[in-house]
Amino acid sequence: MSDSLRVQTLGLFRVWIDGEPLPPVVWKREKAQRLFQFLITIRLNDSHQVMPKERIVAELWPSLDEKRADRDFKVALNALNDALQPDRSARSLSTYISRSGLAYGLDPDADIVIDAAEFRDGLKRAARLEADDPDAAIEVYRAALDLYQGDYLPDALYEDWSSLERERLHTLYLSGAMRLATLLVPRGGLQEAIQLCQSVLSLDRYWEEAYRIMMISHALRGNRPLALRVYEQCRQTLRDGLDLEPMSATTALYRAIARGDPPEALLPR
Amino acid sequence: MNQDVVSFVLRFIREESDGQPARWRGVIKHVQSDHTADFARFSDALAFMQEHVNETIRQAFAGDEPLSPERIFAETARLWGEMAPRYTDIMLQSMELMLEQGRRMGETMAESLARWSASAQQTSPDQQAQLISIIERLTAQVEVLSAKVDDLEERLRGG
Repeated sequence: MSDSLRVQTLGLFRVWIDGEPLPPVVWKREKAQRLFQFLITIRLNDSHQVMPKERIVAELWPSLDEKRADRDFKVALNALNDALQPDRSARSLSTYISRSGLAYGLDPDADIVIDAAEFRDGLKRAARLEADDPDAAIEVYRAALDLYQGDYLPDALYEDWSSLERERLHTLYLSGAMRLATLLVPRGGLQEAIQLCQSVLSLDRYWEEAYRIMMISHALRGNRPLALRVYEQCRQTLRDGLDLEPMSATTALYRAIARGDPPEALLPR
Repeated sequence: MNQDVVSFVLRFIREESDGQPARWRGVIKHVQSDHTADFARFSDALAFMQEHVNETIRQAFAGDEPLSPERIFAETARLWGEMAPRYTDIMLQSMELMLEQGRRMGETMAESLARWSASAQQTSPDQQAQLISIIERLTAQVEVLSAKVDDLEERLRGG
């Protein structure tokens, strides 16, 4: 049985083995770390457990000829095995890496926890809970969203192979944060809802639903002037950046708040 | 081998408003630079892509000095040097493709040599020596390929 391996991929790349953080020096070679990150990305993509070596090499060493790329792959794999399990027997794979013919991947039977997978699974679980148990859904959303500490593998920002997973997780965060904010408003979690909207707008300043929930939250807290200012901010941002006007729902909400409509009429559906 | 990759991530966001048609907008990211742009019209996304592709092409030929005939030749020679070994693999898999490519290679070599002879007179002895070395390597590669063409042709005739 292997020791448990925990990997943080969101916001920072860090690895713990049996609760002990792996110091960056263990990687020795940058490509060993890249190879590990690549195998993690394969794991996150549900359709692949292993990937043929030639495809791994094509992604990680695209500018090398076959011979040199093959040699560099072996060196990186060896360094990766050394980093994860330095006391394994010579020339063997670590218990975290599996090989099937000429294909490699993370061992599906090894105890490996990846924050991005937990984040994604948490959001799925929360969405399923929403209809029957919204309070439980809120807790699960909170726990999942807390895992999103930033972009997926930020040190591999310019790598083609990481961009799809980064984008997928990014949009999951945006939609998950909006779902949680929507659930919080009718339950009085207004400050938390506002913070979630600000977080969404810091990632996508044109997310109009976030402006609407902020307007409602400020209005419900009795701060109508601030709610109206949020609308102005939304209008200005859309106009300056996209040459668009706010959607009719946003403008209708603005008018309702300006008229002083009862708060319950403002609640999101 | 140099390999230029230009890739983009496109995100489309559909926003609904009560009783109104849904509105689309998008975000496009150039992966290699992490530059992003928001757009409400797809033509803006295409313009963003075009700009980054153009920039990559410009960079492929960019340098401290203007684009001289020697530089064009050196780049052509370098590309041939890189492509020739790959041709070998491809040709072994496809006789038809190989014959065609062998012909093209010969033509292009002839063109390259013609360009080189025109530009070599303007280059320094060091540059000339370097270019001659490249040409010699390429010539050897062409000879290897020609031998393979002959061999395969012979085998085809025999078959």
